[in-house]
Amino acid sequence: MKLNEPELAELIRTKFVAVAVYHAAAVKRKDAEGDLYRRLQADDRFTVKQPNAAVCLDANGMLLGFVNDPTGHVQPMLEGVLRDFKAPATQPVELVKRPTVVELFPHEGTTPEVCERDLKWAPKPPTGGLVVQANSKNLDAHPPGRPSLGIGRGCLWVRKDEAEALVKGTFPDSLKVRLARFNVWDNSKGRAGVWKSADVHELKLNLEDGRVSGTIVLGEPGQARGAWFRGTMLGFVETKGGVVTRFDLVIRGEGRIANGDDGAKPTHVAMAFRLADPTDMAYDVTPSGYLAAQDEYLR
Amino acid sequence: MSNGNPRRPFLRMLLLPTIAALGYVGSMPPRAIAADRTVDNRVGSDGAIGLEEFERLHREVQPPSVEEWRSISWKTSILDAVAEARASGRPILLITTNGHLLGCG
Repeated sequence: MKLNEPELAELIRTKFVAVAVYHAAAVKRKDAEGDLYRRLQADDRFTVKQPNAAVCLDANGMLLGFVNDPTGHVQPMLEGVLRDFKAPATQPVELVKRPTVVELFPHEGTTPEVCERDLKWAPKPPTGGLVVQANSKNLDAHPPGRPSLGIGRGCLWVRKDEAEALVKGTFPDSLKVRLARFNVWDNSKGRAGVWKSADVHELKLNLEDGRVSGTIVLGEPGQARGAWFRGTMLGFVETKGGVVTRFDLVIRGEGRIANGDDGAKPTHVAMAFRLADPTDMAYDVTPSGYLAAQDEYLR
Repeated sequence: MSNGNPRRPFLRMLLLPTIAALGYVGSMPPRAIAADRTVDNRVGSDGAIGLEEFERLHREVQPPSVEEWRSISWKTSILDAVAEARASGRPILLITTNGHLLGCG
């Protein structure tokens, strides 16, 4: 992505407050965050109506500039914004003065921190559970032009009771199914996919002495059209003092598990899992599977 | 018949040290088990993943450790960004995507 260009990254890092949101979730949030997002969206000049956009605004919510495609002409837009920008000198007008969705600021001077968060569309990682980084790669693809490309990034949430089961040496069925339905997908070129429960045709996953092994079949392997996957897995779970300290897993197999052409040639794909770093800025980003399946996800 | 399976004596020779080794491994802490498991440190001929392939793929299916765009201190809340913009006097850059920019899309 263009955001990986050193000059552009430096410009953003030093001159702007950068924020990234997932349009489909932000637009549905029934809280202060969603309200503000919809207000911005309602401005005719704001092109967030098209979900892929880079937009500049000041602390008063005044729109300063935008481009439709954040991979495109971001830098000229940012440079133009900086040329004209003057930080608001007076106390800003409340961005959410007349909330349309919820009462955002019931009292003058209330800060955004006390606003309720819509946990349906902006859930927090499960308390006492785990956040697992879940990446994917098309093993047949040509080496990407940039090292950052070619790896699909995602995550997997583990409930507290599931983490406790792992500590006791059991890989809970609910976690097996979640992993299969929401993380066995090649999202290196776009959004992740979600399997229906009925698509999980085989899910043999054993945890023995800290070693995870098994096989997985999703969809109908070999079918001419539509998604399917057949693979095998190996991994290691380690614990210390009642806490999971290692969750390393690799799933490797073949299938048609990328968004796009329904009849595309099947590819070899690998998925790799590891515990996420709690200090990573993406640590509390919601798994796309959660947003797609809502209540089903942590079931 | 004792000679019905010519591989049997070989298997017995193979099994005895293996069982002994497993007994030793069973007494080791978990990390040692993972690191020292050499029974199948190759690509499995039956399609199973061996330890070597596991380690290679686990390393390979990982974004680069250093990326320019990750050097930016991205926020995931517009309200948090507004608060910081007020404090710092900087403009806000909001990027909206379908699929989260930070990687869970």
